[in-house]
Amino acid sequence: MSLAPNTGSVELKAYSAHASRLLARGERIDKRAFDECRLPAIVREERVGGAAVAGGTDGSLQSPASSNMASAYTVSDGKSLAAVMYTDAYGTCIQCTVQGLLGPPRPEHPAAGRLNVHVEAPFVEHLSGGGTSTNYRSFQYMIASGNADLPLRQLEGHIGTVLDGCFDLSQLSIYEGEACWALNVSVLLLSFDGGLRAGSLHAALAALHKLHLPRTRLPNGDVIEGRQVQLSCMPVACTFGFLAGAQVRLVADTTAIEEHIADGLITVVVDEAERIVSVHHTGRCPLLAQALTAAAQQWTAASGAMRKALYG
Amino acid sequence: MAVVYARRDGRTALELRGKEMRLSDMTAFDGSSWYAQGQTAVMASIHGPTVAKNDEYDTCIVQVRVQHAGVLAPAAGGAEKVLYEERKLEVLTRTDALALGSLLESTLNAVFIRERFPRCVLVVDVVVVRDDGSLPAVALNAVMSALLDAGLPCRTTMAAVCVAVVTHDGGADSTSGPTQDRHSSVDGSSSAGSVYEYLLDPTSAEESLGVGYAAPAPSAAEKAVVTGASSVATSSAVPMPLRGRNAAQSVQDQHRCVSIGVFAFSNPACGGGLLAQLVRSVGSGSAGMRGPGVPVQAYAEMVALAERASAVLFEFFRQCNVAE
Repeated sequence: MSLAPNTGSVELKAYSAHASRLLARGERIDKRAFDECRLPAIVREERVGGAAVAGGTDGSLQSPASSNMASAYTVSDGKSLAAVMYTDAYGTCIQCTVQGLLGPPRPEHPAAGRLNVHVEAPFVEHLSGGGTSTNYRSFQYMIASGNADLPLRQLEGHIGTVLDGCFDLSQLSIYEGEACWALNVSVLLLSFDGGLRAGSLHAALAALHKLHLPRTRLPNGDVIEGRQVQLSCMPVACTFGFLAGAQVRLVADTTAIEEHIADGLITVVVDEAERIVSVHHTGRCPLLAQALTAAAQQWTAASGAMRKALYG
Repeated sequence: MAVVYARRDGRTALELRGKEMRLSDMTAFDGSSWYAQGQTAVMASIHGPTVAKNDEYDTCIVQVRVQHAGVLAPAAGGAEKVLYEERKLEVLTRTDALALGSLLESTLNAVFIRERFPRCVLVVDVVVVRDDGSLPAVALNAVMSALLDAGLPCRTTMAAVCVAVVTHDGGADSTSGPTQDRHSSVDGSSSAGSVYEYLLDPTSAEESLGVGYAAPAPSAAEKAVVTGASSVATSSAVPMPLRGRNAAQSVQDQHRCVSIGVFAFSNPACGGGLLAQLVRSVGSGSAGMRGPGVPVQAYAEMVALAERASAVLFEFFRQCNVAE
């Protein structure tokens, strides 16, 4: 389900018992209420044209503070179309970079572009073990629950599934069946404490929001004008942990230790028209449908602040 | 007037495809099952519980492996190889890891009584023989049959059902323009005008209904960049010509699949309830259409419909003498 919590030198069982006792008393370790979410701060750097555009034009389009802060983490090859850093007051730092290439479209969708999502977590200790490290691009790779990087593949699937519904791939088409943009969305998990499905999805959506495709030249000499692509809706996600008992209690925006001790997780993605874009629910015990509808309605009512913080 | 969607294989909207189950075909495993609904077939085999090195010493660890049968490596190079790798990674992450891996691991941990086998490992191999829609539901049912064939103790049986929500892009859509859909935060008229049909056990064609990326006309795209949103409304209002399509397909072309959900239910005799679910939006995400997703009422109706349909599967398990 999620990456294991990093408890430092405290034993995981002891820390889980401590968090369970606090949750039974209606408290959380970070003193938040049960229905309170961690609001992000988005640092955004958008480039128009990359290296091909003159330096004067590139400098005037960005503010110096934003450029100085984000450029330290941006890939310096000048090929990134957008770079977004997703942070909050609790130490989360997720960076998302969008790079664009020109290529042929897929044969089954000739009028659509291509969008690939990749998630990496370079500082998670148990993911970088040499023995369990596998190349997911190799031919023999298969999905197994023993893989160390299975949570990252599930995050890629979750982001790609939500983007399927709210990002029009025909915006990336240049010539039908001949040429299109291929966007590579790289999500880098630098520091986090649970809530990865929502956080990584928010970073990818913030990077793709009002993305500008630059003016470019095809190998046959055609010049393609730059244009702006956008999301068809503005979804926001939240992960609820539910604690079974006489009455099911929902914990909004779970941390890593809460995800470890909760009886199940519900990730709800809603858009601005109060429609449900995605629901992902896994758990250790059965859950009635009323609790799931309550989680969706609770996030539909409370998602305004998150949407304002995410999309501006 | 809403036109009722006529399914291509002649089923009604609330009808499941033909179910087929074969148990104990592979004698090398402790339990195996081959389960198919229509053209979607999944083979599941179970080995264990066997004593193995285990970090959780008080319970049995469940390992799920997902493979696809008949997948060959490409012989080509260049751009075709890149496209093949992208498609393989997409199947790997969205279907195998998210839809199959997380749902299978979660439901197996919930259903299988792991505390009776400390220091053991249970290995579940899932081979997707063919995918013609509703793949997560068929895989969950196949693994449940394999668990029962192996004779392992379970808290409950589970049955998984896929539900697709289909809407009709008729007169109600043309009155509200795409500009209004994009900018208005709460569009009560378009929400009230939505008519949703619920299809049980959708096929691949029904899951990708309406996902046809329209080619952007170069002149309309240039005008849209220059003049703004009004040109986008003008260009999307131009009807696309139907090239050589018959009347039935032209009716089906106006229908669009907006959401697909797979729901795994516990046996009502053991308490009922939802064990796992995955609901996702389908569509090209075009700004010209209404936004993706379904309202909360339609989502609740999806769950209720799937719960009633799971009784058919529980009855099927009972008739096959694998579950009570």
